Amino acid sequence: MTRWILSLTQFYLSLGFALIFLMLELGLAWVLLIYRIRAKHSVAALYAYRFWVRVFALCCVLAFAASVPLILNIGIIWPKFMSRMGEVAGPLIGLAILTTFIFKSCFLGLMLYGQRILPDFTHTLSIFMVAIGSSLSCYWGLVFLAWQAEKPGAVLNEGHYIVTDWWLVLSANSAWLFGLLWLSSLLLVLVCMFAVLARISKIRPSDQGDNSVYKFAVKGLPIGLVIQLGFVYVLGLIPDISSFDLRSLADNVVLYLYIINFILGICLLYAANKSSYDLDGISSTKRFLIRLLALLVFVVQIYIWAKLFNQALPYSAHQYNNLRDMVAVNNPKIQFSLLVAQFILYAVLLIGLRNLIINNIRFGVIPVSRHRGRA
Amino acid sequence: MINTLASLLGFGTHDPSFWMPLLLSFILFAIFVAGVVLDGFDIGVGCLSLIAPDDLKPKMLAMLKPWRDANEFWFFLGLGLYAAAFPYAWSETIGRLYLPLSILSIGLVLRSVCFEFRLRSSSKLHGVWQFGFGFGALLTAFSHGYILARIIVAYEASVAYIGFAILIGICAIAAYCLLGSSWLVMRVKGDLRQRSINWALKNLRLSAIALVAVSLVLDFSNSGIFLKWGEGKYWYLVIFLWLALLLCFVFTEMSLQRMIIKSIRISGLPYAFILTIFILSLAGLGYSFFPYLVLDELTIWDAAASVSVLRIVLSAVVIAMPVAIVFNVWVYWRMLGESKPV
Repeated sequence: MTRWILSLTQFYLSLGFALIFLMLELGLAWVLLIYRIRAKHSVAALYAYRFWVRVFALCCVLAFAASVPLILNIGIIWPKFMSRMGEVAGPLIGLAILTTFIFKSCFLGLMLYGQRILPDFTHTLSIFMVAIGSSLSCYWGLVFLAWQAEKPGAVLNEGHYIVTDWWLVLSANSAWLFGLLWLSSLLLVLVCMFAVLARISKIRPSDQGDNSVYKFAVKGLPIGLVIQLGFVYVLGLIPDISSFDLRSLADNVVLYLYIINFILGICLLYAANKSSYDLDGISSTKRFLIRLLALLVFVVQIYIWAKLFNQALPYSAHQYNNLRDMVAVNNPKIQFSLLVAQFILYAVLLIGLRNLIINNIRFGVIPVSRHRGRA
Repeated sequence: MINTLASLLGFGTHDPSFWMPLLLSFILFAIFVAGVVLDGFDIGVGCLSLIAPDDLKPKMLAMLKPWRDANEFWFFLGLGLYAAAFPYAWSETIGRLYLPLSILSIGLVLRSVCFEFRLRSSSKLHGVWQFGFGFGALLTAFSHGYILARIIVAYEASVAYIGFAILIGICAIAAYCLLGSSWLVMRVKGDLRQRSINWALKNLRLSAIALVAVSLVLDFSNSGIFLKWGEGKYWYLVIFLWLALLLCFVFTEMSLQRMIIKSIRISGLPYAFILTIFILSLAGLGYSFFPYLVLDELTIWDAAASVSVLRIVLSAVVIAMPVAIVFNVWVYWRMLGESKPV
């Protein structure tokens, strides 16, 4: 039983860490596209773009690095998994990596380092291609998660799945799930924006870029929450809304969290509107409200995705006869120490990321040169 | 030879379930060799940056910068191809390598992230990220050696074999440091070059010991390989390979010794020899393993996915391969020779 809990913890640790940064990268890519298009005739959008592209670059690096433990953990923690579902999961993993390779090597360099050399339209096009690339790579992983529920388009043959129809595999409920992922990404970006804005209002006077981001985040939050509630309902994560007894209360925690967040978001929208979206000199209650909203929306996102992965788990677990078959590692002590090592690593990287973003807030974004000096 | 191989398995030579796994295994091996050889100097310089003096550390990391993006991808590409083309091998190969692969993943995360964070952080924290990068390179090198040792003995689990794996892990650190320091000898001048010559000499003996140890264990622990090396059809190639390796080691030692006293003009000679050693030993490893992914248990054809999946994988590879080759040649061309200002 310990081995099962340890394996599950390690897998969810890698998965959670990778998923947060993949979602941040996805959301930020699309938000940056909007800001870059606006930046042609708005200086505020240009300032906002310059700051958030640095955050985007950091998230890209972390997402790319964090997907290595994720893929390796699939192999080393659940070894019989690939024997059983290898023909479905293998091409999807390979395609995700290939898509990342193509889009990252071609377009990410242009987007991050080429703003001075390239004409406006080409630069905006490269941002669009990076956004498409991030969406595609996330999509291949999501197809697998969506496929787990009903397993259409594949038949069980001598203990492993063989694909009969790839179109069925690719379209199995994955569109709704991808919509949910996209909205979660945007809401996570809003969480990040709220956290950064709260810090900015404490440290330095805000400029037009910060005010523009403030307006975007405060206006976008209620809309995003409502649309995401729709997706969550369609995907069946709120099982029973109609009755009001104690059990359905526990099941519908998600719904109540959404309602609380929506009310708080509307309050913030009203208050920000009254001060015409000026971040300078906001009261400490407002700052507390912003931070609280950031925390609560983050909790909601984690709750939804944890519930989704928890629902996918029994379907993966059905294939094994007993727990001993599922878990590969023989020595719980080694597994525990490696789990602790991985946790410490992730904590260090998160603290480093926070430090870098706070430095960018205090001192501005210092450009990284691409080809300078000897190499 | 292809005909006999095909008929032994019961396939015809034009049967796609015969030649597709064969072709994909060659491509996978090519990615593996390219990853070790082309990423090797990055790992080596990273390990060496832990023992370099403080003023040389930023210079060493800055030298790696042009090839960082390309270097990160080798492992990914190999893993993706392995997942797509040979999924049934995962439970027997990757499933038995919990400890080294966990250490490898920690090392890879550290290397990628610390390098990029160092570029974007304030100068107070540069030392922290440099240490992280060096430590990540150390963990990566150690786990590469550990995995090699585990593969060779077909995952036997007794204490002696674990000790052997730890030994080869340490020697792999030495081998990568050798590759990194001989690259630095070719690349820079001055204090860093003198130190690199010293590092290369110290690591040379340990790498030679590692190579001999790995080959002896491989030879004597597996009767199939013993036959293949001794009485196989291409036994003269084996003798030629051993002679070439011995000569390469001796010549590297000689040229490095001469470089201590005077600076000879052809600085790239040690790096050329070390590259030859790496490529030859990897070729020997590939020849010994040939149709097996797990020695005496799992062949390529046992592990391959069904033909429809392999067809998809091959079409993706055919589209991506020319792009990848052109891209990599263009990026890595400037790795050779002395470092020139941009």
